[in-house]
Amino acid sequence: MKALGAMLVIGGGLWWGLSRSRELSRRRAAIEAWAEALALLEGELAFSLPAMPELLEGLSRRSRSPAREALSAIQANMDRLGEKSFSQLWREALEAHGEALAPEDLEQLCRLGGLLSRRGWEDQREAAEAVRISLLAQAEQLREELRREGKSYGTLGLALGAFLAILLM
Amino acid sequence: MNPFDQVCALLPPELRRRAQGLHPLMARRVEEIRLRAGRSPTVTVGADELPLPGEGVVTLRDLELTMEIATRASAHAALERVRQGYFTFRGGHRIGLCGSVWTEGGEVRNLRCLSSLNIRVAHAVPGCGTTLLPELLREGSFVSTLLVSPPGGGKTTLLRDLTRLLSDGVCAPPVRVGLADERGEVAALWDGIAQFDVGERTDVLEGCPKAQGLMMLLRGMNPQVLCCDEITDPADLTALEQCSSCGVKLLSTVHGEGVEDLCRKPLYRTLLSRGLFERAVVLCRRSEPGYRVEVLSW
Repeated sequence: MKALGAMLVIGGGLWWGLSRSRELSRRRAAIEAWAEALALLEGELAFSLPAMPELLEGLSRRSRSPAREALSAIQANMDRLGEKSFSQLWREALEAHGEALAPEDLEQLCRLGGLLSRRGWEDQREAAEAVRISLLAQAEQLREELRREGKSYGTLGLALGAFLAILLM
Repeated sequence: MNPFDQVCALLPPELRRRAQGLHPLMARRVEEIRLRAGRSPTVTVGADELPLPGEGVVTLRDLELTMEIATRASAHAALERVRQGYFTFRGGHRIGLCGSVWTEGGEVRNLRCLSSLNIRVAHAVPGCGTTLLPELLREGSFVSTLLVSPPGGGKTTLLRDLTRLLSDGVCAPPVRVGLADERGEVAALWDGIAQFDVGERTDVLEGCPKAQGLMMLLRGMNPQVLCCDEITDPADLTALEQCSSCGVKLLSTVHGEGVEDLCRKPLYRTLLSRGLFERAVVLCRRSEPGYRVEVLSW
């Protein structure tokens, strides 16, 4: 029984370490998906200026998850415009589909919603570009962190589990 | 959906509820819904401005939500119109905008903060031109005509119906009509389809500056009659002259109390002196409901 308990503790430590690594990886992938979506948005604003429903439909079709689901949710809720402002609808959709993002990533994207319905295309494009550049910088940091520390998390988890097991035994 | 209900659909829920609380007979006669921040919402019926039923004042959020709904959250697509102080939305209704303006290089860049909106309800009155049209024909053919009235006098409504009648061949053989609908109020295109009936043989060019629009229609659509709303610019006059010299008949509108009033304004004095129009129809409000129409010819 002690041996079984020790294995469970060690396994738990390893799982913690690996899930931390996975979480960073998911966040990086989500950020990159949003950065791609914002690049598409900038292009649409610069070259075709579609109305917002058509813009959202096109972006959601061409984006990767989780940006795709969030943009699709906003588009689906556009008939509720009036009950809620566009920035509220935008925020709600991001929060519903933003579990992989960190709070600071989410906040940057949410602030963009307030500009998108109210400013000219140049201001919107500049704002989207600024958020995209910031997200890409964050993604690069995460990639670097994963490269340096990725394996360490697993090892750290394993070591922590082993230590706890020894302590308890 | 009737025009008043189309406009009510623009309003945030509480204001919409109050507007729909109007008696149906009153609602049918509403010409404008006026929203001013910090004031009670009102409607214009004829010469009267009346408060909407219910309590509470218009807030900035109400104004912003109304614009978001009207533009479908697409300020980027509507900004050019917003810079001109108005926006036309589905159904041909026009929203006039007021607020703090943000300029750059002496040009209006955007409205920074809304203070009031004037939502003008567009009404089509099919048949309002039927008794008039025979007086605008000579030997069975339409002659170039100018519609004159003060703002809110019904020029656009009459222009719309005359366009339809000419295009459909009522009272005269049908003709190909080109409509330069700069503000999108005459035909009110939505996804390419006119929300108002402007006739079977009418080609609509919307959103284009009138002078350019008239020349594009002349060159591309081979019209027999060209229609446009509100001549206000010397460039419009030049374009009309070129169209007329190609044998195309003209139907247009101008702001004014009458022909004598037009003669006092340099642009319109020039317009009349060029002899482009053979008829002038002066619309003036006598009393509600109805208009007095005079047909002048020279």
